[in-house]
Amino acid sequence: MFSNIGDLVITGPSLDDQNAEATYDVAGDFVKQLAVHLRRQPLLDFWALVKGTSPPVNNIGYHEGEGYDCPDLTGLKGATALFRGIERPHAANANGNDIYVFICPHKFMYRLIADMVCPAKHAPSPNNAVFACYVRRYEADAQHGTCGMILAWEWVKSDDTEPNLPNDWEDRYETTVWRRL
Amino acid sequence: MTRRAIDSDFSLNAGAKFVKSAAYFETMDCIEYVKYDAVLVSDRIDKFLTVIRDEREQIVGFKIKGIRNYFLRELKPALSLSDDDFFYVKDLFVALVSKLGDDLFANSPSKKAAYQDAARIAANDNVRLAISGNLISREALAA
Repeated sequence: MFSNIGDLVITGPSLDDQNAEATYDVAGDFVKQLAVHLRRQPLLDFWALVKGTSPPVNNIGYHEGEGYDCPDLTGLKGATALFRGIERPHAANANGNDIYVFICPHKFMYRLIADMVCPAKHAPSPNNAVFACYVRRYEADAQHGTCGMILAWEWVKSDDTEPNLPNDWEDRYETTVWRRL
Repeated sequence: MTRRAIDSDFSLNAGAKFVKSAAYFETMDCIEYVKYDAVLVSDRIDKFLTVIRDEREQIVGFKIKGIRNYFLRELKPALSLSDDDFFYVKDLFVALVSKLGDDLFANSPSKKAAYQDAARIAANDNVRLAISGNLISREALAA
């Protein structure tokens, strides 16, 4: 389904400074598990919502047509908040306080559709949801300069009063690292 | 350390169809069950459970979180297991969750009612799990 995968190093905001950029690797186990279980939509989400490019599928743009004013795909760079600590048991960690969560209120995405020409169509994101991307910081810089690994991504229910943040954001994370207001 | 993704990780088995089942996601230490592949939204219930909804807000799956953490803290010492045993324990959990998911989403009204009753009881009572003769309460797990 995907061809010409391209660079798998992702640029996004730094874990320490919302105005600085950093690069991240992507967890192979997460991607592989999605592929093994034929979870095509979250795999497709990687390009538009994490990497910030249109997905490498056949005839991308076919459904939108020439002249379509495609809103910018920002991927992880579009994060408006960063939290640390997922307040739940995670492997050897009792409260997941080594995990960072980027929150991206993406308004558009690519959706899988049943079509022989092109399987992806640019479309609005789900209502009442924000995109979350989970990252673990490397203890030491990787050889190629990345500072952490993207462990997973998903849409999460948004907060009723602050729709650009996840539901119960004040309780579900340990610390607010930064927010773009 | 988790390995970095490579191109072949994105390879899909050509012609294969999605089959609902549970899968363990090591990087997030959770077992996830979904009925179908679509745009889905996670709705956190508590530190152990997340339900997964479709865009009509119907529950179409769930996640059970902290499986390896539970193994390391409770099962491994209680049963004198080694870290490597998680490989088998994880598969047991995945099989159980697959069965649970299949039953939950089997469109059987009587089963759904029974699970809802069980969930109410679990929410109201101090649910305990017997491991090798030791009773472990939900409160103890949460502590």
